[in-house]
Amino acid sequence: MNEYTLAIDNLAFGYGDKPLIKIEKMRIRARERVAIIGPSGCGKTTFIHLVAGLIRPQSGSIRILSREITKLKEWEVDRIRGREIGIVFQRLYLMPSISILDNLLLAQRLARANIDSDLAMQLLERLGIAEFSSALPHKLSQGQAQRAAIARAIVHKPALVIGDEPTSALDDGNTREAIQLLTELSETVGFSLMIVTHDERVRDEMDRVIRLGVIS
Amino acid sequence: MRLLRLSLANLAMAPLTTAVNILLLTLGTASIAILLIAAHQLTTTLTRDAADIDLVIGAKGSPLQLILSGVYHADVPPGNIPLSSAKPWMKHPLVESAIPLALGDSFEGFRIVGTTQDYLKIYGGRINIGELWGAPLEIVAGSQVAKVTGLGLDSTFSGVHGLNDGGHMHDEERYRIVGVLEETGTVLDRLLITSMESVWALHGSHNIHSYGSESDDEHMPQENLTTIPEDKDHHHDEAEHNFDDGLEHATNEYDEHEPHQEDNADHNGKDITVLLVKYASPLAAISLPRDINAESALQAASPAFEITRLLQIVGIGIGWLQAFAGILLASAAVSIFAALYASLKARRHDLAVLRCLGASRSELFYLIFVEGVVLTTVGIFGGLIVAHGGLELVGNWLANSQQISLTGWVWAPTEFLLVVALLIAGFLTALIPAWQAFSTDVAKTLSTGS
Repeated sequence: MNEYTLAIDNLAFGYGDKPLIKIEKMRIRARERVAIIGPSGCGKTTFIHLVAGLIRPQSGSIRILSREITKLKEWEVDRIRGREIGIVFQRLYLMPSISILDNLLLAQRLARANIDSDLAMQLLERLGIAEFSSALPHKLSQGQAQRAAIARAIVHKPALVIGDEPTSALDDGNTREAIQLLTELSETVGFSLMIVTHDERVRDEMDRVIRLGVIS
Repeated sequence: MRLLRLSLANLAMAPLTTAVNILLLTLGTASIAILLIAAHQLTTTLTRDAADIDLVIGAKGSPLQLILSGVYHADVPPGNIPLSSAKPWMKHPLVESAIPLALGDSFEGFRIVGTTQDYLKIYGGRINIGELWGAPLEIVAGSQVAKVTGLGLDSTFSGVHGLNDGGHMHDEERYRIVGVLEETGTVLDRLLITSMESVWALHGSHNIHSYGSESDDEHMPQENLTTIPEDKDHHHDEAEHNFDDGLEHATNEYDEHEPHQEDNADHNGKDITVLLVKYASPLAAISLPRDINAESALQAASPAFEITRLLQIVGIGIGWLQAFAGILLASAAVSIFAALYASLKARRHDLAVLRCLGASRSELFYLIFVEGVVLTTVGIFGGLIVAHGGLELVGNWLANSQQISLTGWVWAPTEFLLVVALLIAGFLTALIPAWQAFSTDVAKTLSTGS
């Protein structure tokens, strides 16, 4: 078993000549919960895209479990992203044309995991939205939809779940509920949690806070 | 959860747009397919019905009218000609066979044709039930005539002068059905066929009605109309010349300088409407029509030439209709492209999220491409179903028609090309949005928010 879910060394990324992100070393252990904070423009979202392999750094290495994703071909990165990473977006982006259950099964399919509708239903039951399994996303309340989005991010049992300001559009009650769910599931399901956030309430629930600064 | 299901679900999410796009493509495809099928059937029918007829001899007038009336029974003849004036051509050395037709009457819109039994051979006509005509006023019905009119063995009826029910009825003499022909898929199915003598018997002075004329209703008694043809050596042999229906079948006996007195005597005063000629040699096509047309009273017309001319005339109309259908199809293609493109724009964040979930670029391409393929395929095959189903319905509706035979259960060879061309065009239309999906910049799309 890998000690680190995410290991970053000498990472540098920028647009043109202007550097945006420089990270000498960063490690996130299995089941560790980390908050990534920083001022606007420090590149938090870009950092998530780098970790997810959606963009490539100018230099440095990013390892998900033991795989160095900056050296892999695009389709290989797609596979690792699908299998090992789950993302909860600021906007939920559930597929609007298919049911909540199908959204979860689609995530399993794209992760090349076993299509296990029983597991998906168990997860929806655990999150208290099983009764909406066959409903289209627009039928759900904001809090219910957020729980569905969390379920989609973890239904294929990833090693790392990334939250991109997942609570910014939620009210206090839903924020508290979402964070509690993510931290609890991190423990029980067994994934590392990395949340980019401005929200003080989120930071307090994390094991560690990493601050990204603006490069001048 | 397959990507195909997601594609279908995406189409179902916008039912109106999807339905309009499919409808547009269906209408365009159906329009072109109907034209192709109908043109194919028209061409096939025209060609088949005239397959064994090289030349039609009749009265002076429009050659197309002569062909339409004499071969296809779809128009009124330009007039009648004396049998005596046709006789020399029946014996011409360049003529292999010549079959006379006497037209003028009809029954419930189906034409009554007086002819020889050789006429049936042109179309491979065979008796289904009963027998061929023998005595005057015995008549056989084509399969469609029997089906539509309900005429069966021993049914009797009176012919009506002209081609419409409104004409004078020959109720003094009634035809009796002695046989029903097998279906041939040719003009034969739509005819009532009897001997020349029967037609002459119903028309006084051996004159057949001129269409639209009511002046010749005096009936003459029947007579033996058997002519005595001579063989090539001019040895008369009665056994060879007595045909079932009393009129000789033309042979190669021809002597334009010494007309036979007995022929002149037998045929004096008898009219026929047309003479269907088959050449004995291809050389006949060069000289025979010219020679006949030089005669003041006769006209010779080539079915092949007139069909070509007719199809050219019809083809102009079909061409315009096809152009219009093409515009419909182009509109459908543009509409599908616009719908896919708009859908792509509206769902760019969804596509980016799919990449985040692990979808490859090619899977996004597939997702959008499949939507285009589904729209195109459903539209095209919907169009084919509408075209064939519609033509079958129209064909059934026109079943009582005496001149038009249409069916939807015919596959025009050009339809295959149409389907392939439309599928390719549809797929090409879907390629651009699919490629845009393939090229989605996930990070940029997600950074822009919605």
